[in-house]
Amino acid sequence: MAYQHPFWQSIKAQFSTKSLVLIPIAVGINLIGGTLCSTLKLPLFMDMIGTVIIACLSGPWVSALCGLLTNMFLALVANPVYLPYALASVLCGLVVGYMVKAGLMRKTWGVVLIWLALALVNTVAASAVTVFVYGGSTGLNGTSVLTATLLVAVKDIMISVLSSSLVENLVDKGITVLIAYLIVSGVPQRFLSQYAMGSVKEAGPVRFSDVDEDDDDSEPVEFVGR
Amino acid sequence: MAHALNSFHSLGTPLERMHPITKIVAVLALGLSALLWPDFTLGAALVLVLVVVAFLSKLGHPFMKLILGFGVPVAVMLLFIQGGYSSRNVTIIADWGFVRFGLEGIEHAAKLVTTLLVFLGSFYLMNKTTYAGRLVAALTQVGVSSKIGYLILASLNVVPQMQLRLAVIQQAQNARGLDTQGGLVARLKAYIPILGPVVLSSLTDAQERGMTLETRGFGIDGVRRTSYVQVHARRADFVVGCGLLLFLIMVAVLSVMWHCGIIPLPVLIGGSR
Repeated sequence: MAYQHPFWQSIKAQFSTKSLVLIPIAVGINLIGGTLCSTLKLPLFMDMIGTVIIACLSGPWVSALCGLLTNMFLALVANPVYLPYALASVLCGLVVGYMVKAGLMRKTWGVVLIWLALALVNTVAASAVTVFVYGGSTGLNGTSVLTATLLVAVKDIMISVLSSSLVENLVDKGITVLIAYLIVSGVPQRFLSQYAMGSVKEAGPVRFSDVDEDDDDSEPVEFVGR
Repeated sequence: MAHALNSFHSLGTPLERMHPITKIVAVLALGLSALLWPDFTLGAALVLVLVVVAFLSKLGHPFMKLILGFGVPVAVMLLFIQGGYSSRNVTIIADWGFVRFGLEGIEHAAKLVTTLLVFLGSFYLMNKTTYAGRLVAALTQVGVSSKIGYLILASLNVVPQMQLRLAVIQQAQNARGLDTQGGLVARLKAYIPILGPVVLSSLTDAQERGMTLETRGFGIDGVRRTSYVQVHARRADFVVGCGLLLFLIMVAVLSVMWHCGIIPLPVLIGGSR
């Protein structure tokens, strides 16, 4: 077998069949999060709950792939405008994934940190796409109007897009992370521990969850021999 | 939204019989040509071509709706943003006091809008005339991993299922007395009791699906897989694909020559650089 870099191997280990079947589910959660928002008439997007949940279960790169697929799906069934924003989704998945891996999901201040990082990364990446791909506006929502208003005041395209997007991102991602945290805390430990990043919770005897995590890291789930 | 998933209806047009890879090549070639060309004229011409193709493929009405529904608001916003505040503005053509419109910004906006419309329009046509199973089969034939293929198809199938489940759980929670109307806080509070059960039951589903796939050898590497859907490339697909690539190369060469100042283009309504 050819030599493989340890980093590449650790990425590959995240993509077990168990994680792969989670990805469509997470894409679904992302999308029905948005649907539920419009049913409940909430002025939010909430289109990243699945990405955060899968980051807690399977790791950063699976989460990034989930973000990419969510935007591809939106582009296929709703509007192709969403495709370039895949960049923002992928970056958010990676950032949340690595922060969860560092153990931040276990502490309250860690969750707050994840929220702020997520809001910031999404704001910067999405604004970059809006400015460099679409020239400042996608003409779809109230944000564009806010951008134009700010533009009259400060006369700089990048600053206007950034600040109008930062406000809505702070609120939206705060609730997203909170909901994802509540849901992940509700998942039984027995279920969590079968995934690579299984022990995000403090509940239960810590030693057992640590053992589970080590097991899953060292041997990715493969039932069938090569 | 569930009905939006059945976005493919067979209409029996030539565009539908075209090989999916040729259509992907077409999206990239047309979009990149519009992007490379120094002004907006080629993009505008390509949008017109796409409109004709859409009408020939019996998709004219929804296609116009997409183009106008997206194009008009974006054009207005971009003309305001870029025309009024772009850093490249030199020639001022109108002054309304709070905003001064510059020629260069407006030209830049026009080029952006036409390029976007070419990308969007061709992507839309590809999407509407391609059955997802056929697209994935064609992609795996040219060497894309079958796991990626599975992910695309499974996402397309899982989402409507989850939406059904969401509706059922919402009704069940309503029957238990959950309030989904009322003030903002009340509606926000209703979020978790509805989404939680959907997520948990989907996770259990995923577990079963994983085991089912494993028992059928999904995780084995390095074996040749057969596909239920077969896609055959015809000579016409090959010719169209090569023609599009030639077109892209020609546009690229002409644009580079213009940038180096070797040839002046006959119709040049403002350059972007």
